[in-house]
Amino acid sequence: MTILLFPTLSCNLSCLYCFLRSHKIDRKLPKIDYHKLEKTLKYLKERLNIKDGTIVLHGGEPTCIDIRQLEKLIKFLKNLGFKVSLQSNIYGITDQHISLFKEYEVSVGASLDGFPDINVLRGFFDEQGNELEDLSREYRERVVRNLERLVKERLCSGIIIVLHKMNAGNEHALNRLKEFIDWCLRLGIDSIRLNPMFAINDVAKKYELTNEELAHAYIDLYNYTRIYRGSSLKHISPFIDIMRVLLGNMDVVCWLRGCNYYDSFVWSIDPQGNIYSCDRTLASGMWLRPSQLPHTHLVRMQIRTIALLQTELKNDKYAHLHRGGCPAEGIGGDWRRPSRFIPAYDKLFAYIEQKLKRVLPEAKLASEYPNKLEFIRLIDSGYKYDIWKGGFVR
Amino acid sequence: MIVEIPPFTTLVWKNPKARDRYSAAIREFEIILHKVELLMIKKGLRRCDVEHILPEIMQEQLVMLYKMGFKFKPLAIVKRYSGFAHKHEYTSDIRQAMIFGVVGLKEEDLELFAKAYYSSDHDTQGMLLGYPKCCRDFFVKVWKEKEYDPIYRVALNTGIKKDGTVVGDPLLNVMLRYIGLRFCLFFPCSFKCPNAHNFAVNVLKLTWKVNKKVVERVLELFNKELIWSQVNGIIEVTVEDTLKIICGGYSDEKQFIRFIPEYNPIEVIKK
Repeated sequence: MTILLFPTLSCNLSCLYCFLRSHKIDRKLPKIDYHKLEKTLKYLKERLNIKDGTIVLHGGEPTCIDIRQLEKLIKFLKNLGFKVSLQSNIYGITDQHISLFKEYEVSVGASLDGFPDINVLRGFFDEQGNELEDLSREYRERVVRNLERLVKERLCSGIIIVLHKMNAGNEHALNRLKEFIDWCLRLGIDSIRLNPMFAINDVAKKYELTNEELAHAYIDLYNYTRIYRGSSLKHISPFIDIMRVLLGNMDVVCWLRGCNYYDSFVWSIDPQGNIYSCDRTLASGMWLRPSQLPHTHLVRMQIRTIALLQTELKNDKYAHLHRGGCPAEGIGGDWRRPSRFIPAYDKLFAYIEQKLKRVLPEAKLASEYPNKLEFIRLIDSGYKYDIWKGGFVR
Repeated sequence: MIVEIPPFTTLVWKNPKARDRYSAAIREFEIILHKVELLMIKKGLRRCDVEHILPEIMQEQLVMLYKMGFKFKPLAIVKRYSGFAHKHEYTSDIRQAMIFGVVGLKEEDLELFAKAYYSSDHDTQGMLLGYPKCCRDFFVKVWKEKEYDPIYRVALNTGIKKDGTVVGDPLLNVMLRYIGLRFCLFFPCSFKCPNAHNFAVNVLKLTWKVNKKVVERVLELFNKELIWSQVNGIIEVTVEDTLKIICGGYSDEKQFIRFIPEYNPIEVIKK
């Protein structure tokens, strides 16, 4: 499980596809109330049975808060027994941040979409989507340097790359993205997440990949990164996750585990200690997480998956494995519908399945299990799927 | 096509202020309403009520009914559920069961209800529960068509705009019943049905007598616009900037309505 804390929703950038562009979000958050925050975190720790969990400082951009405030917050979280990490656009990282992160062993997840020539949807854009080019150029160059520095200082825990038309929509862009991924992995980054961009506004919509384009990009990148797959240290998502799911292993990324919109696998906390669902849901307005912990019936009974298996994903071979994908990507903005990228994921599933079958011809992959609802019920009850038996064992 | 979703209800609050304002009132209203449902029999507004008896507190429940002068007739052992369910499921596992039955003052009413229940005679059941004829006819019709939660049909009968907007009587808002809030105890044939309105006014007045403070608070929710939708068999109700209710639906047909109350329901009491 992931606990996100957003000390601020302010940001030093204004990227084109950011969820913070949604008018349903009130970006003016109150100041941190340490008393309330402590109460919430202790409650979560107890109710979620967290031994030595990690709090991810998120935002907005967490480096936007005053460095002394940031230190106070990190110290506070450490004193409560949490590890601390930070998801950042790494634009505003300074020497002071580096020292602070080293002192408190804070790891940094970086969000950027490639080298400057393809990282073009991040930067400075006004409400209408017009770019402030000089500022954006400076940002793009600086973040590559900052990334190098963070890796050198052994502070970078991984990167999130958002796939869109400008970095994965054509052969040239894809080749540059491959070079960037290659550069990152050689630099020493161990974990890369390749997420499709889902636009929440019309300005960004035109940069969203079609399912054809996304499937093509994923398969191309899957093949390209195969040289790194022998190394267990390199975690490239969603490829590793899809391989695991096909092999019956559910230790995978949240959107393959039957996430529910209001009751996700991410607990987001605001400065007042209020608990929300995943940060991805905030674009449709901020709603408190239901009070039942750790989960409501939405997750425990896998309501969305059950509904989709009878309706829109009735004939989807991999529906019990991807469970409709991320609900925040639901078609038409409706969490009850499958992710709009399911056709692309299905193609990727089929491709990886075919590759696995070539290596393990005797195996009965999880995709071959005949009863999808039963598969979900059993695997969620803790049974293990045995690819050699094609069935479940305790 | 029918979608089978296990019974559940999830309540999502907009913010702590909304939660603090309404959550206790919602819990208390359910208890008040239960009292009123029985009181209506005593007042001659209906002849029967239905009751769920839990095995572990069966004695207390039955003694309470007896002390109030009621008779109880068990009808079926049904599966327990959490939250809201559109219909009963039957079970032979006593650990998962509760007893569904009918309550009334006269033995013959209970017998008549039982006969109607076993023969799926919804009209007679509705008559004994005090529901108006027009709404019973509507229910019998839509139930046959497997419309187990016919909100959209009620909206169609009321008159619905192309964008899904329907203006209706707030006391006939049956879209908050998933969390136990309702003054109209049945599906009205229309959100403007005068007979259903009269029934709901009786319920409102009786609940008001039991606890003004709670009912006043709950009426605030009935005075708000809401959006009800069903997608892939999951129902979501959003009460403007206050709460969301998510519960199991029954149909794969996409349905959407925006309900606007045509008056402030507190006015009914003030009159």
